[in-house]
Amino acid sequence: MSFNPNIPQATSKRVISQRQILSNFVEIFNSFAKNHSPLGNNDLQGKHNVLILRSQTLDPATTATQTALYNKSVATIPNLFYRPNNSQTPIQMSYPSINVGSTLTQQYSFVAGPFVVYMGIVLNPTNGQVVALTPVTTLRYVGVCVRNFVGTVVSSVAATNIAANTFTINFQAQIGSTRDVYYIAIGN
Amino acid sequence: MIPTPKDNYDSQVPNPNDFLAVSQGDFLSNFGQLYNAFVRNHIALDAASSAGNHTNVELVQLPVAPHTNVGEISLYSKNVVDQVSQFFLKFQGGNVQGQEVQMTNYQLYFNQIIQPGQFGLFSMLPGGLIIYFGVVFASGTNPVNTLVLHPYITKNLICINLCLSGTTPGISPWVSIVPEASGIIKKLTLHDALPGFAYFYIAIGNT
Repeated sequence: MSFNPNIPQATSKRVISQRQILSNFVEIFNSFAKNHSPLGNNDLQGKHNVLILRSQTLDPATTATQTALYNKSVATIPNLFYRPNNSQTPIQMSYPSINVGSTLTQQYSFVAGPFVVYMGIVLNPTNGQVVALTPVTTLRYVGVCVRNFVGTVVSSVAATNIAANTFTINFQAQIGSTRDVYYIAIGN
Repeated sequence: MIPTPKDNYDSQVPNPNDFLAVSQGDFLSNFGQLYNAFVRNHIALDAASSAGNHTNVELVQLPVAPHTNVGEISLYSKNVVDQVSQFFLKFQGGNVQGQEVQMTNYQLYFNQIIQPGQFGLFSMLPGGLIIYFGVVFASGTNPVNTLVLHPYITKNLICINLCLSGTTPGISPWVSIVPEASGIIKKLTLHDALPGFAYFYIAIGNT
């Protein structure tokens, strides 16, 4: 039975109203316990244990003194959004996934925008080796750095041919040298 | 008989045989408890406007990630080993998007002189990552220059990037990790840095 805001009725007998009111108090208790510490614990009641957000079809309006956190779907996938005060442009705060596991060669996270931040290491790549990053975005920035150089000439590396989700590792010509390459890239 | 107000919300009232004078006390008590609970984190029920909106969200730490249905996302706090309670986001369940993401990491401090010749800051990326950035000055000749990753919590260095700062083009240094018995990565050696030049750096590690 769900909450009934239209009881008690003036014409109802008390035995009817008692059941209706009791039912409403139970519904209030059960509904409030969702997302919140339940009623009955004076130290915690009212605080949240989780914030589960249902998908919104429209961005909520905010006044001059309000901001809003909400869930809105992007390509059918729910994402966290923030709307500044005065209903300014909403900001997508999340990307639908991350990869920060134990594999250090290719990881990614995100920053608000959303932008995907890729990072990792390419072990002893060849000159001209192409690196393709997933998930696929359009890369806006790629930075590279050499690790553990073994050779006789000062090492230098650049990321070139940045297109879509790929870039090329470009070394100074150094015959016989070895090194690994750290990379950090940002795409959207 | 007027009942004594109860200390807590009672979802089992009114009783069928109670007189209204008794039930009225139960009602008052429950509405009062509901009001007091609701006013926490929310605009009060009797506010002139915006009743029901949140004022803030205090998250009581959860022992495990909550179930999240399709179409929903969850925000919550959970303890992280060796850290305090952190803020998490969990995507909808039932497919690959049902992933738990640690949104915050460690504590933030800014504007730190890490060591003479190094000005460093750090922040975080979702997923339990820490991102260090700043400027390091190459004062000595090869390879005495070091880059310190402070705070010392990085277990794996995921990447680093260095870029020469200044008006003269030049080669950026390459790096090697200084081993530590604890396994925590605290310091990198900069090789082939140009003495007298400063380098912007950005490094990402996991904790």
